[in-house]
Amino acid sequence: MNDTTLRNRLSALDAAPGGPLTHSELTRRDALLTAVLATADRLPAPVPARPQPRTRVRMFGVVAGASAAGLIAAALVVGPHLLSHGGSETATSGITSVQLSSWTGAPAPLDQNSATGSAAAAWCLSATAAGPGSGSQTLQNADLRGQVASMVVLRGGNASYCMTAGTNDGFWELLTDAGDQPATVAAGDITIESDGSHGDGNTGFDYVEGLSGTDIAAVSIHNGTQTVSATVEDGRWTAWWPNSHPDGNIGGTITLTATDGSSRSMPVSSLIG
Amino acid sequence: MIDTEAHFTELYRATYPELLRFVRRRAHPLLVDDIVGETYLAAWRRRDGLPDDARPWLFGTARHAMANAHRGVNRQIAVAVRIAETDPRQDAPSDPSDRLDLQAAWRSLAVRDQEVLALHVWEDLDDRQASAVLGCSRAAYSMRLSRAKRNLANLISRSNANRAPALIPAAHH
Repeated sequence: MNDTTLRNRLSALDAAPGGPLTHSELTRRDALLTAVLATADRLPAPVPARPQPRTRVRMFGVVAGASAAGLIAAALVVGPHLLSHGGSETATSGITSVQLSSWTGAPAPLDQNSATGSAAAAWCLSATAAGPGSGSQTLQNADLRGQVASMVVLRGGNASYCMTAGTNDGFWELLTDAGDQPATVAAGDITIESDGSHGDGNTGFDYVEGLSGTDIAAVSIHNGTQTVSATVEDGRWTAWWPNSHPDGNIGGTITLTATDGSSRSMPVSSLIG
Repeated sequence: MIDTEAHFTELYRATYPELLRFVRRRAHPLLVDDIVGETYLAAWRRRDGLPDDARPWLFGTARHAMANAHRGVNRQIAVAVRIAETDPRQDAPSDPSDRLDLQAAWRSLAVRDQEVLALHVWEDLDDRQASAVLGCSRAAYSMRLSRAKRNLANLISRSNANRAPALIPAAHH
């Protein structure tokens, strides 16, 4: 989708389109200016926000309960569209809070002969087939963390990252397409090609994917209270973990271990830019 | 540097409509006036250090104010970007099913993707300005914008595929 098309399509969704201020808005504008200039230099602190709506208190109770179940103690948030209707909450990714709670920091190779593995592989192959490219598909970096599988699907110069619990739903995104300039990485380095978060609260997760040089044997991310061992295979590394960062930014430290056993660490942010 | 009330008033009147729209796109309607007020209060107190192009500073300050208003609970959803339920353009030629696909795709986007797309399209910021709002480098912002565009395109394709009619008609007995 080119930028002109993007702008034309999204202009239809603007919840606050431009236009002259109404009489009421002009009145409020002028009243606010008067208040700011009159009070700013006398008050020790800004005017406090209004009290939280009651629904937030109820959602925080849900979060606290979920924490007791063993989820990572990060800054959890719950969106109003994800309120529980029973035991498990399901995010727009289709991966449930129960499935995410089974997460392990160290992944296991995905056994595509197992029931879970074959279902997960089938879902990802089918889902990513709707994306660009043609021809046969291959999988790499296929792993399992608890009940949730992740993998990279390659087809005709395109690469997609996919996550699913093999229950007929999941999440995928295009990493690179055949028209992209081929990326390179030095033998002892890694890059981050894509990172992001999906969902929120106990249906949220962060994921990261990039290229790894030929001298790289292992990659791990230390994010405060947890260590995530990435899956490194054929020049790519992938990792994901539950509980998306409140700001959508991935932080912490990343450690690279080389094939000669040496290691070095750096802030994740230094790789994102 | 803003050194007089007159200068600040000029800045305020020039930026108020855009800041109002920025906050309206993200905050609960009941919080909009508070967030805008807090932002300009902060701007007045820091008037000596405001940049010449104050919009990114104002948007970034409002963004933090919205996140802090939901501290520890809805922090991420606080900066999620709302969408219009009906097309705001008076002579819009939009196809209803096309619009539904777009709405569904937007709602499926990660909040961070919504943020960068909104800054790019609705706030119409360049990469220098948008990266200042988010507090990241220009390179990081460019990467995030590219990824957000791809993700939105993928979701729209997925939505189109899900509502594609069956090619084989049902058998009649």
